[in-house]
Amino acid sequence: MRRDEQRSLARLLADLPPEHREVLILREIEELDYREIAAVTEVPIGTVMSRLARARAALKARWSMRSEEERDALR
Amino acid sequence: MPCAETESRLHAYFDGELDALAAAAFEAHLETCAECRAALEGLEAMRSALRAELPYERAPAELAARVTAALDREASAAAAQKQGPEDELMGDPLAALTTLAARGRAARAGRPARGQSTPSFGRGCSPVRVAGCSRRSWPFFSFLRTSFPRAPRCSTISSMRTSARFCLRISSMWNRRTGTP
Repeated sequence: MRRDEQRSLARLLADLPPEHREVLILREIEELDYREIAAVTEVPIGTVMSRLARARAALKARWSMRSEEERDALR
Repeated sequence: MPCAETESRLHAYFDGELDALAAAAFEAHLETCAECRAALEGLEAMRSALRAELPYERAPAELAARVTAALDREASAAAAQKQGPEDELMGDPLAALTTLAARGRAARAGRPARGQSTPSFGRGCSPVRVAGCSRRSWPFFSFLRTSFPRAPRCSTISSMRTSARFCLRISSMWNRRTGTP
């Protein structure tokens, strides 16, 4: 079960557009701050912020959709 | 009707990007706004899940220190050659990789790399963080495996990970160098 979860979450992340995936990994995994993410991705900080919010919303939507599917499958 | 604060300040608060005054103001708002509290919990849950479930591994401290020291030596040597960034990148891909990695770490730490006046990344490059030698390091290792099928010392390179864009850049350098289409 745990391995399935790992694959699924990695897959959900991999399905995001590259600019969303990039900003999420840099923030949540690499733990860079906004200024550092802006330097790395060569976009203004405002863009980092909006991109991060959109990326989180997109991942959350896919994540909850998957959870619902799993609940349905168990019924 | 979503709370306007959820959109504007929630993420910055969650990421520790608000100054003390703004953070205190947002915390006061949190006490009265169930929607923002729920959204904050959602962000925390996602972060925990990502950190717990993604197949990333950190290097042991000793290995990280050894590789870090090697990266600093590479960066100093490259800076001493006083080459332009493109010249530098046209050389050995592994050397370029380690040079850029050292720069990335220096920029992250808010200081220039030794011998560099300002931290600079090659266009489209991301810093490399030393990670465990896990074959599951993603996406760096998978890109390397597909992009560098014949590359030497691939196991050394795979002990680092970085963004896909950076991998593409390194792989295009490698292909130019080896004549691979």
